Amino acid sequence: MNIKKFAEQESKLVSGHRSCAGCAFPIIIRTVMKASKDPLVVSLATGCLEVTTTIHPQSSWNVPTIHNTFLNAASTLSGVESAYRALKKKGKIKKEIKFLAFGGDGGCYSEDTEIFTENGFIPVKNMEVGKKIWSVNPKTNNLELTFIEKIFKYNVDEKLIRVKSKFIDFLVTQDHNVPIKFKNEYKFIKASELFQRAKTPFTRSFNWKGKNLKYYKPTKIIKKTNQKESPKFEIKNWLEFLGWFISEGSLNYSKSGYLIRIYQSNKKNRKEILKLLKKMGLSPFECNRSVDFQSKQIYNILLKDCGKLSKERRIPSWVLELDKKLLKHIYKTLMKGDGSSLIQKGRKNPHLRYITVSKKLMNNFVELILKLGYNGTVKKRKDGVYIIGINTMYLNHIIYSKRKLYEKQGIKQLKEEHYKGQVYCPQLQKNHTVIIKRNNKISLNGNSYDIGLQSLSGALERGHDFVYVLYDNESYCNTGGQRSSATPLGANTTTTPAGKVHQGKEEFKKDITKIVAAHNIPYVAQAAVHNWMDLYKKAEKAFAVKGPAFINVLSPCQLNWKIKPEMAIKISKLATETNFWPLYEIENGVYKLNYKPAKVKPVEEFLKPQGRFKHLFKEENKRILEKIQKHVDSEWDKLLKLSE
Amino acid sequence: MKKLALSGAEAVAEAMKQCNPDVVAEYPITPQTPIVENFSKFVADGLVDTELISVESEHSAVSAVIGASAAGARAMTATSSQGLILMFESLVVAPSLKLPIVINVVNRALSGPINIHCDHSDSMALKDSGWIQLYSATPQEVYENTLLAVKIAEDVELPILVCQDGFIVSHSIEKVEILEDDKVSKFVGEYNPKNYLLNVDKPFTAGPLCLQDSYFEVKKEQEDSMKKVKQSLLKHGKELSKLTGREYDVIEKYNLDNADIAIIVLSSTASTVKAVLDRLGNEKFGLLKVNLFRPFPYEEIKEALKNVKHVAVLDRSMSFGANAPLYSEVLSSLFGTNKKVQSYVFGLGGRDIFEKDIENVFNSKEFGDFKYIGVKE
Repeated sequence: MNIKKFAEQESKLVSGHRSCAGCAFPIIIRTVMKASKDPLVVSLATGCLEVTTTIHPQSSWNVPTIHNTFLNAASTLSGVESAYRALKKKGKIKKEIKFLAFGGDGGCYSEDTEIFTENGFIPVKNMEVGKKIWSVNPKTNNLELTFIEKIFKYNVDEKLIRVKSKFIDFLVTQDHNVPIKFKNEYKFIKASELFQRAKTPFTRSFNWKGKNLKYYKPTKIIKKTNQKESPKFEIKNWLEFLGWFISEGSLNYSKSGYLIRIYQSNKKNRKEILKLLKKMGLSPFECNRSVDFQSKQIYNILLKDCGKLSKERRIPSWVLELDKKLLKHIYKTLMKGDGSSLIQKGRKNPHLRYITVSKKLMNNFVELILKLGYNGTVKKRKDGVYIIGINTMYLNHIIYSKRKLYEKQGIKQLKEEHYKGQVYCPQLQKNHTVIIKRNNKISLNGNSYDIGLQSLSGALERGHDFVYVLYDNESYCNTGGQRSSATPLGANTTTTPAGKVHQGKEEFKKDITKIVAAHNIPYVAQAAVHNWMDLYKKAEKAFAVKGPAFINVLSPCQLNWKIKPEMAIKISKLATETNFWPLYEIENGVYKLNYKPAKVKPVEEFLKPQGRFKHLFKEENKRILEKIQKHVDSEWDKLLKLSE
Repeated sequence: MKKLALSGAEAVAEAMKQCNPDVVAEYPITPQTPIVENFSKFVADGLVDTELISVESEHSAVSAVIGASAAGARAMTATSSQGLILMFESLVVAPSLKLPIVINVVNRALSGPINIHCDHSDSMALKDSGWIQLYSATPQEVYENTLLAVKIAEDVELPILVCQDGFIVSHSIEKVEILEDDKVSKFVGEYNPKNYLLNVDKPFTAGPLCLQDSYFEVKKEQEDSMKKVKQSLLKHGKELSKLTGREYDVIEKYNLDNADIAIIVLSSTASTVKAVLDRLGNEKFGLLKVNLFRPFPYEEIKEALKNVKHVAVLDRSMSFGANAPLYSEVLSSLFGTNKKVQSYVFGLGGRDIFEKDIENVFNSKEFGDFKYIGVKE
C-alpha cells in the first residue's frame, strides 16, 4: 500500500458529515475501513461519531450501519455477527462479511495497625497522601520507597480476618489482598481465601539493593593544625565506629577540648575499639570503663549525624542507603553495644535483642534489619525503652488454617474476629504492598484495587468474529468534555476543572488496551491517527484474524483538548514521540513495539500545546508534571520489558 | 398433536424450538431461567439451527437481539423482573427500529425489597415502552401466545412481550397440547424483512440521529403500527384456531352474558375466577380476562361490559399515587357510562389469592376507594 493507492480507494464514510474541523476520528474511520477487502457491517456507540454522521434523513455511511445506544455497540454487533452465522448456515447469505464496531468517548487495615514509612512506624490513621512509605516489589522482593496516592477510610462493624502467629499479626477486611509467597514472586489472594487453603506461605525476608562506597570522607572539614589533609576513612571502619558510637558513645565538650567517649565495661571489646580507632589513624586512650579520643571534626560530624543525647540518637540516613554487606558492619557493632544475645535453655539459637530509648533509632534499626533480610518485633516498655527482637530464622513462614497440633493447644492461626471501628486502606503509587506492625509484629501486606468492564468484555470473551475500534478522545467529548476514565491525570475537564484546591483530574488514565489484552484475544493494538500506514496495517491484521480484534486509536479533539484545529496530527505525533501513547500490538499474546523514538521528548512537549493542561505549567504545579513524566517513563519501561 | 406434561417455562422453550429462531440471547434470572435452560439443551442436542449467544447481562441480551433482528434474523430472548428493567435502556430502541423481536417475560415483582415471586410490576413498568404485551393464564396459553407473537410482531413490525405469571404458571406442570413441528414451521413461516443490515448491497443506517424535524414522525409511525395489532392478532389467531381448535381474541369473556357483576383480571388469576364461577353457578357473576394489554382493547371491553352494572378490576401491580394500571385503562374504556367500578390490588410479591377472596369481591356491595386483597393490616 502506498499513499497514492490509499487515496484512490473508495471511502466508506462519505463527505458531508458534521464533525468539527480538525477532528481526528473521520481519518481513523476511513483508514480502518479501507483496510477491509470484504463488505462491512458497522455498529456505532452513541457519541460524536454517531451524532455527526447519521443525522436523519442523511447518513454519511455507505455501508450498513446500526446505532443502538450508548454502551452496547459491542453487544449489538455480537447479535449482528450471530445473525450472520445463522443466516449463512441456512444459505440465506453467501457473501463474506466483516463486522466492525466503533466505540469512543465515550481491603483494609484496622485502626491499631502501624505502617512503616520513611520516618519509621506511623499509625495507619495518621497516614497522609504523599507520604513516603516502605514497600516490597512483588516481583523482585526488593524493598523500595513509594508514596501514598490515596487513603480510603471506612467504618466497619463486621467480621474481619485475623492472621496471628508467633511472627505475624494482622487484622484485615475479608476482601483485602494479602501477598503470599508463590515460587519466587508474590501472589495476591483475598484474605477470605486463606480459609480455603490448608496452608499459606508468607515471607518476612526481603531483598535490598543499596549503594556501595569505599571511603567515608566528611564534606565539611575544619583542618586541624597538625593534620595535612582532611581525613578519609575506610567505609567499613567508619561504619563499625558509628555502630559503637550510636550504641555506647557520648560527646563531651569542655575547656580541654572535644572529647568523644565510648563506654565499654567489657575489656575485650575495649581492645577491639582501640584497635579500630588506631586503624583509622586516630589517637585513642583507654580509660577505666571507656575508650576516649579527641577530635573537633568528628565531634561535629557525630553531633550532626547521630545526635548528642541518647533519646535523639539515630543512624545517619546515608548509612541506611548502603548495601547489605556494608550494613552488616554497623549492625555488628551496634549489637555489641546495646544488643544482647541470650541463649535460652533448650534452644539452639540465640534470642537477639536491641535496646534503645530513642524512637528514631528504633525505626532506623528496624529499617536496618529489614534491609539485611531479617525481621523482628518491637515492644515499648513502660519506662519508654524500645526492645527490638531480631528474627534471623523462620523468615519464610507458613500459616495453617487447620493443624491438629495447634488445635490441641487451642491456637488458631487464622480466624474471624468481630471488629467495630475504622479501617484504613492506603493506595500506593506502585507495588501495592506495605510493611505493617500490629501488636509488635512486622509483616508484609497487600493493597486493594478493582476493575470493571461489560458489553465489550462480554463480546470479547464470547469470541465473536469482529473488530472493535476505539477512538480515544480522552473524555466525554460529545457532551462537552467531561472527565472519563480515559482522561489523563492533570487534564482540566468540565467535571474536573482546575481550581484553587484541585488541579484537574487526579487519577491516571485507565489502560484499556491492556485490559482488553487480558481477554487473550488474537489481536490487540494501539495506534495513532498521524501514522496512517501503521493504523492501516493494524486494521488489515485485525480484519484478517478469526475472532475478536481490538484497536485503540488516539483521537485528538480540538474542542476539548483545547488545541487549534490544524494541530490534531501534530499532537498525535507528539503523543508517540514522548512515549505518552506508545504504538504497539499484541498478536496472540506476543507484544511488539511498533515505534521507538530515537530521542524521547519530555512529556511536557505533548502537554504544553494543549489548553486542557495549561494550569500544570504554573510553578506550583511542577510536581504534577513530574508525576506525569514518571508515570509515562514507568509505563514505557513495563512495555519495553513486555516486548523484549 | 401430542399432549405433554409441561410447565409454562418448558412450554415456551418448546414453542421457541418449533419456531427455530436464528438467534437467541440467553441470560439467567429467576423465575425465567428454565426457559433458557431448556432451550440451551435443544441447541446442545442440535434440535434447532439457532445461534445461541450467552451474554453477560440482560442489557447485552436485548442489545444482541436488536442487532440480530436488524441484521435480518428472527431473534428471541427471555427475562424477568430486574432483568427486564435492566433491558429498558435499549429495549425502547427496538420499536423505533420496527424490529419484530419476541421476549418471553416471566412476571416477577420488582425490587425492593427483593422478591422472586409473581406480580406484574415488571412488565407494567414497560407499558409505555412501545412493545406489544400479551398476557397468558396457563402453560397452554403461553405456548400458543409465543407462536402467535412471532406472527403478529413480524406482521406489524413491532417487538412483543409474552407474559406469564412467575412460578404460578412458569413452574406449574399442566397438560399442554403441542402441535406437530411441521405445522408450526408452516404457521410461523420464513422471516423476510424488507431492509436488513446483512444486505450489504443495499446499505442503510439503522438508528440514526433524529432531531426536531423527524423524531415526532418516528413516534407517530410506532403508534400507527400499534393500531394494526388487534386486526393482526385476530387474523393470525384464526389461522392458529384451525390447528388447535381454540379461539384467540384480545379479551376473553366467561359467564358474562347475563352478569351484573364482572371481574376484570390478567393472567393466571383468571383461572381462579373461572373455578369460582364454575362452583357458584351464579349467572349474575362473570369474568373478563384481558389477553392483550398493549395496545389496550378499549372498545372491545366497553362492548363486552355493556350489560354489566358493577365492575371489579383486579391489579397485580400498583402505580403509586395513581390508579393501578389495569383499573386506569378500564376506567377509560367505560368513560361516559354509569357503571360502578371498584379497584382492587392483590398478590404483590407472590401473595396468594384464594377462591374465598374472589367470592368476597363478587359479593361486595361497596364501591369507592381502591381496596387491597390479602394485605395484613
